[in-house]
Amino acid sequence: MVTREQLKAGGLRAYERGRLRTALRVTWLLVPVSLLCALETGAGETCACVGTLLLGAALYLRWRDRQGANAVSAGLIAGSLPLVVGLALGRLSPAYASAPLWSSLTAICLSVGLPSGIWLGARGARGQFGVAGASTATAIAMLAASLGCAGVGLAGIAGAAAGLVLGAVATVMPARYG
Amino acid sequence: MDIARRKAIHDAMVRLSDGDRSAFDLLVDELWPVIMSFVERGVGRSADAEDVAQEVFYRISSRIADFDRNRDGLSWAFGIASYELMTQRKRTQRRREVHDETALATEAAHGASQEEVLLNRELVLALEQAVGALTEEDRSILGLVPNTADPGPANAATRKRKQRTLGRLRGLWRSIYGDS
Repeated sequence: MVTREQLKAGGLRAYERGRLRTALRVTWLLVPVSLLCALETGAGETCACVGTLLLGAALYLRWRDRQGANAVSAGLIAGSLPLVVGLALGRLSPAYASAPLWSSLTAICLSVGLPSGIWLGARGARGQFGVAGASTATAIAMLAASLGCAGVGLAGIAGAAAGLVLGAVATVMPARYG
Repeated sequence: MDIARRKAIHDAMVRLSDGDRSAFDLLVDELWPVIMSFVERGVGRSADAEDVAQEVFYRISSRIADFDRNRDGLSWAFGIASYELMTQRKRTQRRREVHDETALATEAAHGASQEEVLLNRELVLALEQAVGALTEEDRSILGLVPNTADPGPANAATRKRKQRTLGRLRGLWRSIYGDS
């Protein structure tokens, strides 16, 4: 005869395993994307580092709760645009790799990150995952964008990150405190 | 099943799917008795029922992360429980089939020994037929019929008579069944 405590302990273990299994599904997306970025940009170490960070954060957030899982999904969607543009810029204009911090590359990446940030901020403002969720999603989006912009150097990464943050803040703040 | 309990189960599942671990106590208190009685109806009130119910409960717990809050929690749980019960039944059936196959193999082994018994019986019948062809005296010498007369001490003459009688029996056997 199983006791209530044994049942609860076993059930909780099964529950955590289930949450981890659900969280691990993101691996199927992030590992190939990180590998692709590493191959495409040639910045293997940077991509491995950022990819590991992104995977770790995504796994933890998705395992923790639904809000974290939603933030990861939104962040990855928002980060995919700067990621793709960063990869395209690296392929079309390899000279951008040595671009200074204040350059046209930064402006391009910022202009690509901005709409993604606005989209994230709008979701946060609508209360889909709150301000904390919007911040987390923005961080995830920045990591995803960094994967694609690794090939165009720090200027690209900084531009995309600035665009994402500016867009998110510009949308969330007026909606919340305006 | 009252509506309040149904709602409590659903709410606990929603909270757990959102990541609120503190709702697990509520789930154990509300869902476990329902699952237990559902399984008992499915597999009968046996010692296995509790094990199956436990398995079902753990399976539900492990899949709560994927629970869609727009669905009814209890119906979703019953869906998993039904599938688990079906799997359990199939497992039991397969076990029974393996048992039956083993029983058949044993019966087949017994069949081989029955064949041997039949062969022995045929041999005994054949021997009886050959012995039946002997004279009463010869059968008495071989000790195959209750001998009322006292045979006396075994001497050379008796041994010789026995030898001759056995020779006749061998001859009869050969004449009926051949040398094989």
